[in-house]
Amino acid sequence: MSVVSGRSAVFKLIARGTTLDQYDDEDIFLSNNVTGLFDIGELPSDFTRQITLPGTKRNNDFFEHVYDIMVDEPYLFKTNEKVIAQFDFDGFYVAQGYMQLENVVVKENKFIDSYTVSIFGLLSSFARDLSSTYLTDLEVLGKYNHTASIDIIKETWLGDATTNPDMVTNSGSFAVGDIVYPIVDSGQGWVYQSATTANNFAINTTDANPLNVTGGSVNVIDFKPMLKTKRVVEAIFSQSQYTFESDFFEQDLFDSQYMLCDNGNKFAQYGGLDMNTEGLIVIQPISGSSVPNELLTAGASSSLDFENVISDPSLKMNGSNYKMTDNMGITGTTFSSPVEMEIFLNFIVTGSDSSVSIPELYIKPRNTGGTDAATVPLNFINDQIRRRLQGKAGTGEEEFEIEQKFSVNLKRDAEYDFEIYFEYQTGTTGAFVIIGPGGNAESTLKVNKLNYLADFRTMNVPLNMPFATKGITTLSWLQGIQKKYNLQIYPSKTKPRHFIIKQFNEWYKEGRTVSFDRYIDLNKKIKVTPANNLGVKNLEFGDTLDLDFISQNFNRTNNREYSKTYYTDTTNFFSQGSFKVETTFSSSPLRYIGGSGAIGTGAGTTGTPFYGYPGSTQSQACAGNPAFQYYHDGVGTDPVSGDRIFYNAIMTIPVTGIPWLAVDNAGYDVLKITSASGVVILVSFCDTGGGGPTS
Amino acid sequence: MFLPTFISNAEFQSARVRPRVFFYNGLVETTPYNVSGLNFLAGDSATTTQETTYPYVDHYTTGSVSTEFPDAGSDSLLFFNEEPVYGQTPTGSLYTEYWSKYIGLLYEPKTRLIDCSAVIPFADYVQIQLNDIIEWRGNHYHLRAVNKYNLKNGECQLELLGPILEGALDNQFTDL
Repeated sequence: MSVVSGRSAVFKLIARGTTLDQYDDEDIFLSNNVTGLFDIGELPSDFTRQITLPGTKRNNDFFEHVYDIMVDEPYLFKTNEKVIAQFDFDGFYVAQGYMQLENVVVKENKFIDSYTVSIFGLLSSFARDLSSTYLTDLEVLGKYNHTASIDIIKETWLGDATTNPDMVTNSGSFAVGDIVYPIVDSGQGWVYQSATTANNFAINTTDANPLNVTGGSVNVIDFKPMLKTKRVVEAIFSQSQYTFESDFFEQDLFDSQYMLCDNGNKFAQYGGLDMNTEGLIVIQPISGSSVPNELLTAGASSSLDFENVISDPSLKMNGSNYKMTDNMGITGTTFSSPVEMEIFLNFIVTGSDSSVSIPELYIKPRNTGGTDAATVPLNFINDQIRRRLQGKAGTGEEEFEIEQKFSVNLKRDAEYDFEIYFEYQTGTTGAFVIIGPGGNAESTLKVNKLNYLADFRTMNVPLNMPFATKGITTLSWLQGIQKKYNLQIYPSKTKPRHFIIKQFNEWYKEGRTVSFDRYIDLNKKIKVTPANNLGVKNLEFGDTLDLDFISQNFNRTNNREYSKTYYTDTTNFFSQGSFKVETTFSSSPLRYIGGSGAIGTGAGTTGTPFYGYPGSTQSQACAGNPAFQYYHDGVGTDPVSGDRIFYNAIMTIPVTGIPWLAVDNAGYDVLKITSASGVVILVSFCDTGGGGPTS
Repeated sequence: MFLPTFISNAEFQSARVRPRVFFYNGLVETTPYNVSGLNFLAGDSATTTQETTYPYVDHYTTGSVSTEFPDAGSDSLLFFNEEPVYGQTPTGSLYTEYWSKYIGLLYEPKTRLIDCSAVIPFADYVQIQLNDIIEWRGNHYHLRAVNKYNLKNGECQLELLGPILEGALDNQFTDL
């Protein structure tokens, strides 16, 4: 037998439940290290050893006919599969993990001389298992799959104190509180109406036909769930068929800590249907065919006829017609859903009339087989037309390139031809609209979001686990948790495939005092090293700097990474170098949602928005240049003398560098900015009789 | 309203981000906003409600006393506590709560690492834990490593670290 020590009979190498025969003279060494005391944040390897086993009948039976290439399955020992193995001493797993067959030595081409195998300790096995599994591979997280609906999402906001726990638990097979749906911004650009630039969806719009914004709301499709962090830890151990014990994860700290299930797309993944492609299209006109498209008669609609399909991953286009998806999460043929769209129009307004006529444009989604959807006025575009033409002596010819978002209500499975027509804002004749003048084919129509596409679908949690740019292995994720909390992770000596996880501050106090006076060999040299000689000069603690805009912008603006901290060894003259304790996770500032917070305990102090025309002189401010949104700290709707003017809603950036500002109100008040802190005085008025600013 | 935002540019295109963890701190009042979806009980009809609270997630827990916003005693998910969007900046960070003691031991000028040889019977070896405090010639040490333990004869290489951390002996009462 290989490992003797006077007790050779009780040492066993057990692989897949078979006790293998060993040579008597094999030396076996074990090592046991504290988790990364000097290799901070590293999981140590505990035991890796290559040993030779004799070609006995028992071993031959175990390894089957691995040496014989003539023997095929099912009798051949599979060298590509790991073999669970352990060294056992009276029930103590002195080394447990798995075994790999390296080679076989054969005598006379018929007798087995020996087998060379490598034994990997449990930590090594654990690390290897976890390094080949990604978070998105954690099928055991499928138990958290559930039906998503707006009611269930709102119930999860109540955490453990949900008022309707059955609604949550019936949607899946997990405990109330394991899943919470936050509101995150993965590209939606959430903003309130008061803070948005014109032409944007605002989440508080109630007006069905507002001037500058189309109705916006947060829908099921916009949400991404969060799963309790400790459930992910459990899943990693469970999927790899290990177990663990840890009082640390049972603390209150982990009752409210969650990981966001965000795989990086704008919308979450639902089983069987990709919300990021289904029903989404980008189309353009074809020069000479679709454009120029002359709209000569008010009220007469004409197909946009955008036949150049730039993007249509779910095959919804039929020529220039759009087929609304039938893939909704509910049944019912009469069902319709709001659809968020965006149009970029290149057009001219032309007319020879002597008094200006100002057209306004409408989109008409014509149902080719049924009742048309409601027409949508392109309010933002129409407002820009008015601003440009207002006050002119005649219509003349004006070219526009304007983008507008809008929402339409489309019926499932119906096919729509998007038509466009114009009416007159002022005047009744003499002005026409030409889409794509001269064959310009830059106009674009997009479907950006089908608002109810995700309702009542199954939220697939494993599919939505973080992926970053190239996948997150379960090992690196667990190391991230280990580094955040300075955890000691070590194998149990009495329970196979079992780990103990403790936090360092608790762990180091839980041992016994052991006298080593009788063990330490004083006849051999003892080396004493100042510990800080082994340390580096600079230690850096933090999450990994992410590639997203908010993280990078914070880094650029502040010349440091968000939440990083640094330890510098000032006591040791000789220390040098640096080391990063960097987790797999990232963190970045939360973003203030413009226009929010004016009400409630969560209110930040926000200014009152208004539009103003800036100018370096009073007359320039009144000249009708483009207006921009500003905020003032006064109590009225418009700023008055003594108020301060800011660029941002939370009023941290005062307006400086602009001496004059004409307010976009009835009288076009002219303000002079008198200090670097944005204080204004009311000086004059631009307007002498209506219309826009005029000098 | 303050929200986690994961975008790749100022045009609000979505971004693939690394794993993010947050504390969920319940609902916080805010300016009303619309939430819209299908209602199963109402025959799959769509309903839009105006919500006056939103689910507040942050890098900090709510306060140690009864408050809905972080305070000095809150738990943190950051190594360095940044200014919070609500409430006060917590005093404890991941570094101060979980790492500073460890780093203090490592960089204490008096701390010594001792490499020595030993012979430990197997019956004793299997009972030794790495958080045991080693008493040797009247001094106490942390046990950093037992290396190259020979199962035949019990010979091994030890790494000891001392003096020990304050409080390390608080729970100690057993001896071999």
